[in-house]
Amino acid sequence: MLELQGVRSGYGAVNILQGVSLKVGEGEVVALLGPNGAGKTTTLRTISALLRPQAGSITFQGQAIGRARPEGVVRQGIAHCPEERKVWPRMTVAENLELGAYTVSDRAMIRARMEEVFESFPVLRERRTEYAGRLSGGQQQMLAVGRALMSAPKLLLLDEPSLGLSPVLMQQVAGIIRAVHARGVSVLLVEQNISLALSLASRAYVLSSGRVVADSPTRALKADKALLQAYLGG
Amino acid sequence: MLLSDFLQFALNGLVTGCFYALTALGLSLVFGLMNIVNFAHGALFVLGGMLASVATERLGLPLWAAIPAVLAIMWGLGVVIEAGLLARMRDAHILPVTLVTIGLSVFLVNTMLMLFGTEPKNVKTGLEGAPIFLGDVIISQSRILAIGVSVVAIIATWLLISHTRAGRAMRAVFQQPEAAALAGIPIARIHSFTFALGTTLAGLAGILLGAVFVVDPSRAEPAAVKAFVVIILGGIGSLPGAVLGGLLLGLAESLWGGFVSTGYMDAVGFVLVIAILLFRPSGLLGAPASRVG
Repeated sequence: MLELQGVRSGYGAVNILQGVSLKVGEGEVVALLGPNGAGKTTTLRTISALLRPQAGSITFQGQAIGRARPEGVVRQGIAHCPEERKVWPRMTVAENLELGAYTVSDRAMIRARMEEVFESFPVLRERRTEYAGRLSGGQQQMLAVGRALMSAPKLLLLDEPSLGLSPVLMQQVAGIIRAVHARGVSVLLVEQNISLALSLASRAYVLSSGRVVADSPTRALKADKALLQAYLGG
Repeated sequence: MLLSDFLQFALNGLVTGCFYALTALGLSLVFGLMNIVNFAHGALFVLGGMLASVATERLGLPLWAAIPAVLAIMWGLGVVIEAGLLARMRDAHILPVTLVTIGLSVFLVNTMLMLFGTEPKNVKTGLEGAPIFLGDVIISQSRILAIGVSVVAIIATWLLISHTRAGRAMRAVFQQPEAAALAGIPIARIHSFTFALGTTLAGLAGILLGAVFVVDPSRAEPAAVKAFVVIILGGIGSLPGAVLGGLLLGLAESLWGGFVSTGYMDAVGFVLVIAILLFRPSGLLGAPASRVG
């Protein structure tokens, strides 16, 4: 459903991605792994049109989206939950969620989706009138994921959802990713926690210095000690 | 009669305070949300009054028709300024952007001098009837109009920002632009909308000033400086603070001018700011490190 072909992208004149090609199939969870600075976040930012590719093509469900604006990408059905959560600190939890559905104009649908998010994360319901900046890190992460789900995406881009979470919360986030997947949403997951990523994804790409150096089913990747050692530190 | 003098001065101060509040509200929106120090705000304020004067005096439009027409022009001008100058500098440091607004102010003031001359202009209200007596206190109909329109505009702005989808989108864009883009909020349009709103509020304040007193281009710079005084007084980024600061400055100036001396009226505001900042460094309603929200 998502396909990148030879994508070069970066900041200003500096290309971080040196020709990245990857695919995410319908209903698939794919992990994007690699050391710091490999270009994982840049890949996600390019897909969601925060960055414009210098070369290469990006297609989503047969449509070229490489020249789209971010709002166009959202309307196509891609939601991006950015690294470091980036919730709106001086807006309430409910306002954060409502804005996640900015591209949706049907009020009833927005309410129904917010209800779904509250069911996945009951603590957000309790704190819905509080400023997002007052939530704990884990709660902010739940809010960021919930906000991304408000647009009812077909593909969810997740950037480091486990960052700064306790092991218990990490398991909770993993549960949510599985639940999202069970609803038929495809997921492209960037994750530092390799074992978490490998337990969720069916396939993984390994990026290094802006290039894809490995593309394999996670089962095979887990067995490939040399590769894990070389790029993922163990 | 000391009490009636006091009430009269206070009422006059309230009228001036409304101008200050409305001007500062527009400036605070643009500053607090967009982080643009808009020195052209005073020129835009005067321009609103000048255009309303042309519409009512020269074209003979009634005030109720002139106000929306001038506000529409101000809105359009805001969109043009944002698209032509500010959008190009969205990621620039605050200083070059400030320089651009100073340049814009010089340009606008001199263009107004060329087109309208130096003579102070009046906005014709059609409210030349007898003033109203409230006990010993006198208020003209145009002043009542100015207070009424200011209150409506202030409440409407507050409702827009705090309770509408557009207002939420505005706050989102300026609190965390990347997340706003990812939520599908059209960033460029929100910048344009916010600046146009600030410009229009400045224009409205100018129209009301012309309806009660007079406007001329030499008022542009002092108006911009006063508006900055007001938002620092109220707390940078706090919209209620801008309103409160405006009313307070209007009252302080009027009471000082009435009871002590009109000579130092303009100094009162600065003394007030220094005094308040000594005790509340972030202004009256500005929470430390907090912005519009």
